[in-house]
Amino acid sequence: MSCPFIAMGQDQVKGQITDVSGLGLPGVTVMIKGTTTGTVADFDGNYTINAAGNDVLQFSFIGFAAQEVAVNGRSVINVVLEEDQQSLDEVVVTAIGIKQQKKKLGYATQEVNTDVLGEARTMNLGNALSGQVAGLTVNNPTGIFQSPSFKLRGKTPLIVLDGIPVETDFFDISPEDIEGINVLKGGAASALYGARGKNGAILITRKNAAKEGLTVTATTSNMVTAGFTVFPETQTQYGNGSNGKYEFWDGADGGISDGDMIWGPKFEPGVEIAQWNSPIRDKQTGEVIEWYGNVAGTVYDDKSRYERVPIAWERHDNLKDFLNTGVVSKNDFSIAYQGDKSRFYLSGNYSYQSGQVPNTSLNTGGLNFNSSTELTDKLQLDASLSYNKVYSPNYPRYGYGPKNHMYTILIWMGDDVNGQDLKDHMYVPGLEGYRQANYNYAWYNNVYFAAYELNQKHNRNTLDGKMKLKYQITPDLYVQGRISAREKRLFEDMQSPKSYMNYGDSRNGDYKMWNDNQLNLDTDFLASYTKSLNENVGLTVNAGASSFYRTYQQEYASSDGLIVPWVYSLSNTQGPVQASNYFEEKAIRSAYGSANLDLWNSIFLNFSARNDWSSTLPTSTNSYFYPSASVSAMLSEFIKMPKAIDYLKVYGSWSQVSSDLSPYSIYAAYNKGVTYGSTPSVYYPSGLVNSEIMPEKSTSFEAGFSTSFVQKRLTFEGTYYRILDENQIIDLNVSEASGFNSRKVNGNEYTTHGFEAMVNFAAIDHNKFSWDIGMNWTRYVKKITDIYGDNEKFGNLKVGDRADAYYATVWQKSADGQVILDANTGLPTRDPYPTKIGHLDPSWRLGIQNRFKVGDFRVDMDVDGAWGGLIRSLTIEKMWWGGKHPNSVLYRDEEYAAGQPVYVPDGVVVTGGELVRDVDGNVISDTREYTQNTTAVSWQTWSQIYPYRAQVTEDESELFANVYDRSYFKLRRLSVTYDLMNIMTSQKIKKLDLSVYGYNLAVWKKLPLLDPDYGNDDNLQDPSSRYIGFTLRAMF
Amino acid sequence: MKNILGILLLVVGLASCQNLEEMNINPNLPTETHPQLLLTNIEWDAFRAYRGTSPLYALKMLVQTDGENANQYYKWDRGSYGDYGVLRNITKMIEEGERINDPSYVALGKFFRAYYFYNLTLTFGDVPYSSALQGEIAENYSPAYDDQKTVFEGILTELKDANAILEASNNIIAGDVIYGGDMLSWRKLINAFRLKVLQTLSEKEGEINLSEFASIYQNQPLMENVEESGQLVFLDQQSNRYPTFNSSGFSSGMYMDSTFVQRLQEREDPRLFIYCTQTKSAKEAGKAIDDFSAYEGGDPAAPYAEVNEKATQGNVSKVNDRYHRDPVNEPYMLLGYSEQQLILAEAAVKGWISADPQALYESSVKASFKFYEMYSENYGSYVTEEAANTYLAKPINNFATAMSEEEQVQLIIMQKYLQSFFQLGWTSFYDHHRTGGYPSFRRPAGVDIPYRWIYPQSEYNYNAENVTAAITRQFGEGNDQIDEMTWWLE
Repeated sequence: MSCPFIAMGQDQVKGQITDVSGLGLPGVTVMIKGTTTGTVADFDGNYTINAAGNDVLQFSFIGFAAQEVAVNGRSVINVVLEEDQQSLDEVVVTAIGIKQQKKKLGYATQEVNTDVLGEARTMNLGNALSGQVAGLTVNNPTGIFQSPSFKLRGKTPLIVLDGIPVETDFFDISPEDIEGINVLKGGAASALYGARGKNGAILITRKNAAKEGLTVTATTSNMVTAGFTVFPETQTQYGNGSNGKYEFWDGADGGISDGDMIWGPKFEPGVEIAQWNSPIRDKQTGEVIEWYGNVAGTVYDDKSRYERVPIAWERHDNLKDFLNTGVVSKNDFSIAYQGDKSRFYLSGNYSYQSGQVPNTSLNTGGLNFNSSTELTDKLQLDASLSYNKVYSPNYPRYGYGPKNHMYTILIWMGDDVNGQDLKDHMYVPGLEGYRQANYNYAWYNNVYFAAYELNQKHNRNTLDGKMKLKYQITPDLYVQGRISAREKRLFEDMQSPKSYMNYGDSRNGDYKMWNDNQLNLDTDFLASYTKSLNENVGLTVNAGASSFYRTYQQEYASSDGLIVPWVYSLSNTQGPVQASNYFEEKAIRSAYGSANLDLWNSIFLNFSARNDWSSTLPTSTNSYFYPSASVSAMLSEFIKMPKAIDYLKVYGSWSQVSSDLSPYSIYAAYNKGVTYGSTPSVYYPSGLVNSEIMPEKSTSFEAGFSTSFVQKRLTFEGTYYRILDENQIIDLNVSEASGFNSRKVNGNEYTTHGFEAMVNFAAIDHNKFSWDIGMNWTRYVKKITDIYGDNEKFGNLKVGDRADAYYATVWQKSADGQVILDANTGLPTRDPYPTKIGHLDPSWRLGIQNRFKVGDFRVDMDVDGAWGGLIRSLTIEKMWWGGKHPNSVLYRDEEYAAGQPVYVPDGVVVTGGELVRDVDGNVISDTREYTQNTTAVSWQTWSQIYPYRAQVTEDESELFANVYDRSYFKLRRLSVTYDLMNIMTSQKIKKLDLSVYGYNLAVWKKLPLLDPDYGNDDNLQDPSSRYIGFTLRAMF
Repeated sequence: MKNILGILLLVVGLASCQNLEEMNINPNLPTETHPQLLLTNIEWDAFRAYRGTSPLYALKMLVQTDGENANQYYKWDRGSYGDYGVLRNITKMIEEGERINDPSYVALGKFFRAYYFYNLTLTFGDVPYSSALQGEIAENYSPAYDDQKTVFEGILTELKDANAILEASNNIIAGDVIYGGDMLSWRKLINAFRLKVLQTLSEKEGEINLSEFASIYQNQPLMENVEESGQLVFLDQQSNRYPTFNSSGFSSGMYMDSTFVQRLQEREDPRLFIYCTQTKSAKEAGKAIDDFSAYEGGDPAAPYAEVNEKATQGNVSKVNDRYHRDPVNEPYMLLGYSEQQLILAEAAVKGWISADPQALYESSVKASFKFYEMYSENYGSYVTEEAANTYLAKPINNFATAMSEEEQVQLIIMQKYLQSFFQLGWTSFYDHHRTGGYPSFRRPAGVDIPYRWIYPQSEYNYNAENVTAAITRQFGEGNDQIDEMTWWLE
């Protein structure tokens, strides 16, 4: 079949063109660059062409990415063509593992470019999905061992690993093992997963051997933190204390304002103050004793004889000193073999992370085995087994409280505190093991003591086994059965030293332990029949049944105090040991089927149906049905398009999905209450159950198109969707006077409208330089469109409100919006009515992936961000209160010099009249009269009230705002990859890719001090670190 | 090969064999219970209710120096219906008591209902009562409001019934951690509480039958000594400790109010040493614990920054360490013998009962001293019986020197106030309104003392129609304000 063109005076070059699996590719066009000379490969992919030693060959084929290879005097050039990501003929994995050509899909799916994920690593695979997929939102916490959270079209998607739904935080999945990630966005896409897939799904497929023979890879990837992309700057001029004064005695207001607050004296040369690390002087003998912490209960607790010697009042850069360089090191190997009848893939990985917080680390590792064997011509057995371990001897604690180092250092520790001394002297002299040395004994821990002496362990073993047997009865018909078991065993404990401060817990040390065990058992059966009825009509019918069964069990025990310090054992308890256990099981059984009809290879119809029976719903309502239908049409096959348009596909889908409850939610049961002495008690829960609850219903409609121009130079895909959530299982709040806070009902209706757009553009396509841009944009708005029982309000929400409307506590304002101040005190008063000040979710999100090829170098640059929406900052509020906010320095000197308040807040004082409102806050009458405020207020008082006790938007006051615009854009990733084999030669190594990359490199944002990429600011996050690293990947 | 497929199908089948309905029966928790388990929980909640520091700011006993305290400056807004959550458990206890035919739990249920509704109606005014708590049984999720008079009448009836049921019953009440199941002790407490409710309504003579007070005093058992007080003793065991044990709040920004300190100083009241610490300067000057001049408070009406300034100079006392360092400290009294004696003393002064008010007054003071002698470790020697006698002999405390009925009542009310530190909840606040402003509460000029709290936002959201009707009928449309007077004071 070869049809060589005539070429004069040149050498013959030949070779074979294959796909990645090693199969010969027939019909590939081979051209000599810059000429019209060319040929086409034969049935086995073999070609022969006459070319000069300095020519460049171009290989191109529909559905595959074009490639250019310089001849360089060679006579045999074998080429592997990779499938083109943008191709419509490309096959993707869809629900329950059914493979479909892209052009046949009547709903939106999007694949993630996994090669970049492998090269430029993140702390967790989930982070790497940020900005990659239209409609998929990833929130990225910054601390070690914090897992990202996902929202797909505003809902939490199902994670499917090798065809089986799993619950994972991604720490037990190595990015090296991943073959592909496909995101199924709408209800129609994932309807076949039933209740679990009602919010869309992220399908992750792990690798198997893809190439004849043996392939061995080894990869190492290492990255470190390199400074901070966002660092919370604080004021650096004033230390602990209040009203400009401070002196340490017992760290609990026994000295001068030594119990709390950073409104103390200014750091100035020559200032000396008694501090927590001041030596003690015996006033009688003049002896000076080195000391750290308070003196309570010691001989020195006698002010008539002893005093703390004032020492220099200086600033320390405690947060930067506290944080270490974070390290992430990951090592993977894999062995893949493909023979005649079987193939297998074996991989191992080990990864080590050490956190920025001292004494924190995370180890993960695993072994995965994946095999596929043709037992006979018709019978194929796939089996896989994987074991993964996630182990952290200690990881940081977040949240607003004394366990969090950020709470202590950032918000509540003045810069006067000498961090090095905290680190070197964690205990009060002579009280080692019993009392920490600290600058404060009311609210906070010595942050090094807390980091080193409190340890919380996480030890998780996940064992995952799968077997699939596929029987090809006839070429048109196959049946398969699958079974999967995934067991997760988790041991956690927390070892709290004596004198450790956690509000509400014992100060006498503490040991707590948890044992969790979860088993998921999934079995399913599928029969599939494909038939071409004639050349214009093709039919595929699938039918299946599945069963899902899960058990979860937990045991918990805790001590009450410790007798001997540092011995973390339940038998070392002072009081009685508290213990509890819990068991839960759940099952869903399902039957499903789907039918695909292909007409003229250009119109594709799909119908699917599934029925679930769930154990968690009442017997009368526990059976529910999911229908879906979709259509896809290649319009370009019917209508003559301009030449520039390669194709035009339109599609649409409709589906209805349902969901059930968590176990044991349809009967009321008593909960265990306090045990007084040895007398036990129970209490009745505040939520009313409903034994007639029905499944929820979500109906999605989606329509979209995809097209490409100028031989795929530009492709464009757009989708509109509407989701109607009805019959929601809601905990409807009721009057507390009914005895209950809420009751479970089916009700409320939410309508979500969303748009997603994806563009791929080959902006520059030169031999030595190319630039490809992938861009995705998404916007959705979810509104409450009907409220249960025709009520006017659901919580604060009214019909027509966005579901993410932000009803905030604000200050009372005059009719024209000025803050009303108290005539006596000059202070504002909170409005008892919550006020809508905007919405929390961004208005839209954007992700951009750039790929540059410069010679043999490949550069990937990803940017993503969000626009609009509000974020409330707890950090900023608390910084104002505590006195660490950069702006809190403003009037301090002036006021301390004057000896009286100097700051006159902007606002009005009511001189008469009153405001009357109904229960919805609507004004019935407003006869208030005002004058401008003239009362000066203590600056510290104002700072502790106005920007802290209620929400202040940027519009209300730029200076004191604690609610900000969420908009940001982030340079998420920059990586450069180069195959070192271009400059090296080796018989053994086929490929040696070196990638150098940076992650979380830079951000533009409107929120000061913090990174809005966290999602919210309720837990006081670590500073947002910049990572740089390299990956070396060898293929043998 | 078909065998393997068969095995697979079999496994799918096996996994499906279990009954879905049986699987959803909760193995961890019971759906039915003996009422004793509810009783323990209810007692634990009820005896700790309305305590803590909140009322102490309004009663001019504490000042805050690191923030503006809404209670201290009388700037509060909405109250909470959290009490209905405990009332839910009380409702279930009555149901379970009826199920097992044990009327004593029904009786205690009625008492606790009365206790919570008494506090609810004083907090807000009209509240849902007769149709409240029927979310589960009658599916009434937005109960109508009863006027305050109906609520009080209901409270009195329920208390009367509770006493009558217990009188007729001879079971021992299991699960009772207050009186160890002793029915007579419960009747004494219930009757004392009846007196308290009736006295609260002293301004409502004519509308409420207050002669019941005398009849209870004459015919029903009442507490006879301090040991019979209705109180919850704390234990040094996880989740049984004194509620503010280890509370960080005591170590920063919380100081004594000059009002309270001065009132104790003027009366040379040794409970001062038990309630607060010496000022830092006094301690450094080496003053003795029983030196009254070693104590000082902060001005509750001044801007808090000023009080903070005074505190930084070491001139303000703090709350005594035992309130956050002693794991058991002292019991919380729901209603103690000493309060009962003051209730009776006031009634005697007003001629509701024929008794010697001076004897009652003195027995109360002695009982209070005895209480602290028993429970305040290291301070017992300041509050012996002898100390009480000395105290009562001082002209300012001496009942015999009080000439007018008003002076006598003021002495009685002041004693109740002085016993209120972490003990009587909002009792003195309501006394203040009932007695026309006694004891007085210091505040910035132009600030009025509120009468009530605004209804919860949750009622505005989930019971709008009924709460609107209640607001309109009591205070006029939209006028749900804290400075509106409710029926019991009108």
